[in-house]
Amino acid sequence: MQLIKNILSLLFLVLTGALFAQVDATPTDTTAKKNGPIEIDILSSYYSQDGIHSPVTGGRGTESLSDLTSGIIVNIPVGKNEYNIKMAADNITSASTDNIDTDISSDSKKDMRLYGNFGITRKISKRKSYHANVGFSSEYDVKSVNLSAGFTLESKSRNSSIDVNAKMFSDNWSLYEPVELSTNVDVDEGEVEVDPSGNANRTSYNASISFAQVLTKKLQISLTGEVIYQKGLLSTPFHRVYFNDGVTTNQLNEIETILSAKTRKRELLPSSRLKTPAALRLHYSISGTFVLRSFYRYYTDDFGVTANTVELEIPTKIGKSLTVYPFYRYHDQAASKYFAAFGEHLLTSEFYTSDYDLSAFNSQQFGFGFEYAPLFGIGKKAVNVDKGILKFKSINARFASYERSDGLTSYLISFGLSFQVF
Amino acid sequence: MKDKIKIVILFSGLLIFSVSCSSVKEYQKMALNDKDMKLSDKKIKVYETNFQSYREGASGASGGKGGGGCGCN
Repeated sequence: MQLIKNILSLLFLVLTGALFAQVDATPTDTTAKKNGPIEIDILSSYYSQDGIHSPVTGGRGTESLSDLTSGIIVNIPVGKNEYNIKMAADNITSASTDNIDTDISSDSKKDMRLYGNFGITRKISKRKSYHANVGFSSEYDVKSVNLSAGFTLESKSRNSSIDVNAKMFSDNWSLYEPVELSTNVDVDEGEVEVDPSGNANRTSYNASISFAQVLTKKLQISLTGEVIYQKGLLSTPFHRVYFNDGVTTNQLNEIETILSAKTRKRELLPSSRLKTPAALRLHYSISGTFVLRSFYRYYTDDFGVTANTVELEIPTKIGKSLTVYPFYRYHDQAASKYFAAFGEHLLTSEFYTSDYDLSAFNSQQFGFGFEYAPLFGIGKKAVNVDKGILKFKSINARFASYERSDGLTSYLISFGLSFQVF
Repeated sequence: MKDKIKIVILFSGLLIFSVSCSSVKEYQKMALNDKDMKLSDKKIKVYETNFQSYREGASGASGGKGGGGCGCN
């Protein structure tokens, strides 16, 4: 309990920027010192995107969105256990969801998502460990809890390992509908059950197995296979789909289209989906200066989406403390069989979406990052009367620019500070 | 495409089988122990993986979310 109090005190200090101020903290025991350092990572990011294919307005209209995220990850080793705590908050501003209704800058424009996880990894022996995790997520229209468990085994030579993991998400959706459809009693929910309060559930089951192998003194790879089965509400209630009914709306903007007589319904997708991604990761130490990190994924699902993704990253050491890493990512996917563009769906279609995330496209992402991590840290400070030491370990930053072939562009800036408590 | 995937998996399996017998000793793992050689994404990449899983129909097998847990604007 005392340890937790001290950790919370430290987090408070870190978050209030009082790291290097004179501190008169409460006494602590020496558990952290006996168990290895406590790791604290503070991460934040700013994401911005724009495009012209918003699913809220049927695949035509602004996709402008920004998201400011702040989070903290704490790893606490205690004996054979390692506790992991993650907390984060997304602050989202979206011109797209503002068009759920026809009021400009209404409540639907902003959203906040809080999420957190608590996990335990228990080392059974030098080569065997179990892990379990519980988490939650809460935003305006979705509440979610998740549970996961798994184990990791290493070979005697420690050259190969296998990791097995199972995870379940249980999401509860409040059905916020496009304003003009919210009073339509003829809305088709498909096979999804809606409770009397107007909520519907989505459950996701994930099972993954990952095999890692050291191949040479400079080369190691991992192979990961995953099966994801989802059931329940898989369509997004506030996504509109406009149908091919002969009504022309080419000259109208989003709001005028909403107010027009063009036939539209809420997005409707099947109530189950099976995803099967498989990935290969290969890391090669080219020299003491360069490392090649590569990743390939093949993905397929029963919505008809197939995709190939390749990533390359080359961490390059400049001196003893600084690493810079340029990276490039290419993604190519085929469209879901339920996708069609604005006004192209037939009224006889069983399922329909105009969400361009499910369309055929390729995307390119490039950027660079850096990590400044001196061997003995950037700074140190005694944080309590028992001479506990807080080490400012490293600074990380990363910039990514993303471009999708349908015109969506975005960028992301991430920033991280790492600390250790001895 | 499925045939190509089978070939990649088969090739990877053969590669592992053919070299995994030549064990690398602990004292030979200096390059492998470099933090950039870790077979997982860097912590700072977590939000990037999140937005990719929102903006693309494909996700999973990369340490990020495979589905569930958000409304994903």
